[in-house]
Amino acid sequence: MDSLFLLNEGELDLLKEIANIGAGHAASALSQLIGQVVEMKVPSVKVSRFSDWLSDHEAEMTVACAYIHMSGDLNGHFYLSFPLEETRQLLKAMLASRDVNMEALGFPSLETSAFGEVGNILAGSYLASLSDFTHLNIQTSPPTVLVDMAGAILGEGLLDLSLYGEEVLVIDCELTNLAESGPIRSTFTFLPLAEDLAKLLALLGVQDG
Amino acid sequence: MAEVMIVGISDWRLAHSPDRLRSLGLGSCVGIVLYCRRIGLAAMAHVMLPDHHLAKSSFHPAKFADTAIPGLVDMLMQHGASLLELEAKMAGGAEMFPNARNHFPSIGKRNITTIRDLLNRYKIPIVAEDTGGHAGRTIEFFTETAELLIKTARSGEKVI
Repeated sequence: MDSLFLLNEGELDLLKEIANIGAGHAASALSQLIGQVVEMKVPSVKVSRFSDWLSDHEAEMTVACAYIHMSGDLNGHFYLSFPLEETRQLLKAMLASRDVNMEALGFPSLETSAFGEVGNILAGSYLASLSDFTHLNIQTSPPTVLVDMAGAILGEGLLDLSLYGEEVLVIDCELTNLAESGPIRSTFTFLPLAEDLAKLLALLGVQDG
Repeated sequence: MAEVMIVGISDWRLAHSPDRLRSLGLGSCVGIVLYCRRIGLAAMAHVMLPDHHLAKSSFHPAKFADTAIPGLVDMLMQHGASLLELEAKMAGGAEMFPNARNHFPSIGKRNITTIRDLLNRYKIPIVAEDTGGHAGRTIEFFTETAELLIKTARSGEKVI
């Protein structure tokens, strides 16, 4: 695959459909975890140049993020991020406690473990459905939890992808709970390695044109 | 009115006084600014990786430290700066995932080392820098004062 921009509508739709199924599983997992109804938006699948990928606002926003590295048949990066102020709601719902220490997030603490577990479960359910669908063997690393600017975190995933070209395929999906206590919005960002993407499409019966 | 020019990942921009150059969310990437005070001219690159030999396809020269520095120098000289007047400031090169298995261990450090070596070869002094650590940075360079503003998510702002 010389350029990701060569992906046609059909291929992008197929990737979107797979993302849809995976995100559906992740949404039910999150729903069970926090005991609230969780809605998902239709995932977006887009190809963009690195320099245009994140808008200025997105790049500078402080997020809590669980990062998972994927290896095996499908290499890439998986991020689950929450706007920082909404992470407190998530941790409250999970830890059933009023005292959530946000300062501890990203450092060894109960908050970090709990948040990492959310990452694990959501990435796990997303990738398991992808793996079922394609019979690809996908291994996941333990989650790394950090709180920082979205651009600085997501940019790290571009390092190895950047060796193959100037653009990235980004699969994004937003999940939102429906509780009265305020929204908890989360975003999945899935960055597969371009070489493996061709493999994935071939498996699904799409020939790389 | 000064314009703020955004320098995207693996990109570079040139700015004349009083415009500003801004790069958002630097992790292990490095924001490097070369500038000439006399004519109020500055160029910033958002460098991702140290060495262009790593590339497996065509690439923008700003992506790699070893192609970005010569490129920035050329750009400034073409716009009237002389090599002897150039000064540098830089920020970034953090290690974002110190505990994760990672394709590029200590890539931030390697970016910084490569940039320092190259600037040294050109005899361009690094007037100030804020590099390393484990946190992301957003930077903004003021061409009028040659100040570099550095913002972080959790430890505030500073000017170098």
